[in-house]
Amino acid sequence: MDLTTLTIDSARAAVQERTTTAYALAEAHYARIQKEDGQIGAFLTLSKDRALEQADRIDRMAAEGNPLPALGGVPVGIKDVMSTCGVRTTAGSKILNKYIPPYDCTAVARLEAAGAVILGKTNCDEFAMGSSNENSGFHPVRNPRDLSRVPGGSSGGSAAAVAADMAVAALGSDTGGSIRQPAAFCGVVGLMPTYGRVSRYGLIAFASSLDHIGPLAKTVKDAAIVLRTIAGRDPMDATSTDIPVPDYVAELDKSVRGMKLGVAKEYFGDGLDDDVKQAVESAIDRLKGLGCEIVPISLPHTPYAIPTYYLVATAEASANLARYDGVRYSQRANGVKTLSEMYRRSRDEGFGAEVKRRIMLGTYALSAGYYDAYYLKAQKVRTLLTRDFEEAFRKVDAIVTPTSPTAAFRLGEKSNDPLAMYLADIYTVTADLAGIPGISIPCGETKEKLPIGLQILGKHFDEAAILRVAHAYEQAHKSGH
Amino acid sequence: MLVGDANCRPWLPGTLPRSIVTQPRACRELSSCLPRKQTQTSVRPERSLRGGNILMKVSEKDVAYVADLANLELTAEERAGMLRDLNSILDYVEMLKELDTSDVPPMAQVSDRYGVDESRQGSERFSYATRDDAIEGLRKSLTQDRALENAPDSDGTFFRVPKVIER
Repeated sequence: MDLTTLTIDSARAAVQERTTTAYALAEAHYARIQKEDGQIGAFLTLSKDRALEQADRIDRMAAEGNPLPALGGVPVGIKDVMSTCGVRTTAGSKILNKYIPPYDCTAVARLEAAGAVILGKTNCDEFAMGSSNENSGFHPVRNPRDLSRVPGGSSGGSAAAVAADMAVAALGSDTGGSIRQPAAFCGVVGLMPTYGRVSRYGLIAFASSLDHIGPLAKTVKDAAIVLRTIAGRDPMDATSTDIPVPDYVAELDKSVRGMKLGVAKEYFGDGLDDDVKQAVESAIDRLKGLGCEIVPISLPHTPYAIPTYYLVATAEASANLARYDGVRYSQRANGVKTLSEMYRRSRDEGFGAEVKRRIMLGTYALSAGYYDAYYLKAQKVRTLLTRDFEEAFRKVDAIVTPTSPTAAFRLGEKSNDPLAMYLADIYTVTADLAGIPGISIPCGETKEKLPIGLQILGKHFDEAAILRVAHAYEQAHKSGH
Repeated sequence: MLVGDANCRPWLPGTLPRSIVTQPRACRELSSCLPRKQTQTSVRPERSLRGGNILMKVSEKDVAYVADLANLELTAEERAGMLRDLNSILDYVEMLKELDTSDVPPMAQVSDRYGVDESRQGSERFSYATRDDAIEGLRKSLTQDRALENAPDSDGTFFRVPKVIER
């Protein structure tokens, strides 16, 4: 049995039935990381002690014949923007180079309480700001499918770790597409839940009204298992809601026959790569073949999503990142003489170019005289973008789109052009702004054998519907029907 | 009930404190809550992001002023790059001005509108998010040692910083 190609259920079952051990599973994944990650760069920190201790605990449970929890013995990666008690957490930034959190992120605690084995922390764009993982303060991540290309971002390390069988599943975070776009680029499943569905307690904040935690996984079912584990009200995060969490796994096999799927013309315009367009159109045909009704819709404000996003997100980021002042979080410039000099030099040395750019843009947009013209205006357009979806969801149950206009691009291709990089998120930012859930699943390859992602967007708190459509498509795609 | 473990002990399977696996209240119907008013807007055709004349919105002086507000120093080279990038991004976001938003309320938070009890009014809508004002409520406070562990400089009781002198 190849221990690094298992799904969550098959890994857990193998440990439960004693055909392998959680310890062996963890060791097999560490061996794979040892062998592959030198060239991929998906992990920043390994938490081997913590992982093997947990694996031992799971093995004892199995040996005693106790039923294992949902992720018993399953090795997972955690994006390095989520706090892990006693394990270095950098957010991909030099300014947190030596930071060791004194508590766990709720999503991490919930995964571990459900038996998951935390292998380590995955690389990402600094403070989750980027679409290619080239903004990591440490080193870029390379796409396991083609090492000359980016894995997407900002959860590039999580996507690459799952794609290269270095983890069964991983947690990522999505503020403008950072789970779905790397999932598409690396050929894995990535799910962004509804805003408020998963607690962000312990997530290092980028843009608080847009940040989400969600899973990257090898199958839709695995994504559903992880979501079921991490979702639900957490009193430590006031934005997490107490809406009941359905059993997403039980809902997967319900028929999609008769479901109405919207196709928005705004997501198929200029800039969409031909291969991607073709793959997504044939995915839509396949869904039609499964009994879904395809309904043409319009989301007219879509062209305004990127400017709206970059004003809202940077404004919030400029406030959230003010806390990195050289006083509390490990990194301070040497030889500073005054308080003001300490702030400036610590931040100058600690932050990378893109983070500084966004702090500057956000500070400008919030500054006296410009607040109404930029930040307030963007918040109003955010309402219009959300209304677009409200209108659409009166007619349809879910919306299908490409995840990204192109497949994975080459390292360096867009790194000197911030605007070109921002446009990589053009089909994903809308869901973050509206707070609706979205999933990206593989739907074929380009002529160059690069993965293509199909995005399915749903109503607020209706992850069950998009998971069901995604699962039906995945099963049909796998069997070639 | 404590969340987080000050000694970093891993969570035992099935032992997560009840406080972070709180059972939700009964399900409620969620529907959109804004008025159904449709704003008529024309959507611009695709346009080149890089082309066209970029009107300088931000001057070198502005860059210095904003860097000052943001507590960044920035090298001369970084300032030049910032001048170029901010102008190009602000030129791009200019397209938002095409939309008439005079009757549109701003949206600051998704949870203003979704995931709340719509049968309730005002702050009552968010009553699920409140808790008792207890000194050691959901999480045990960090000890002084733990809180100072990541400090670049401390005297064991306080964070230590350079003298505060007016610039």
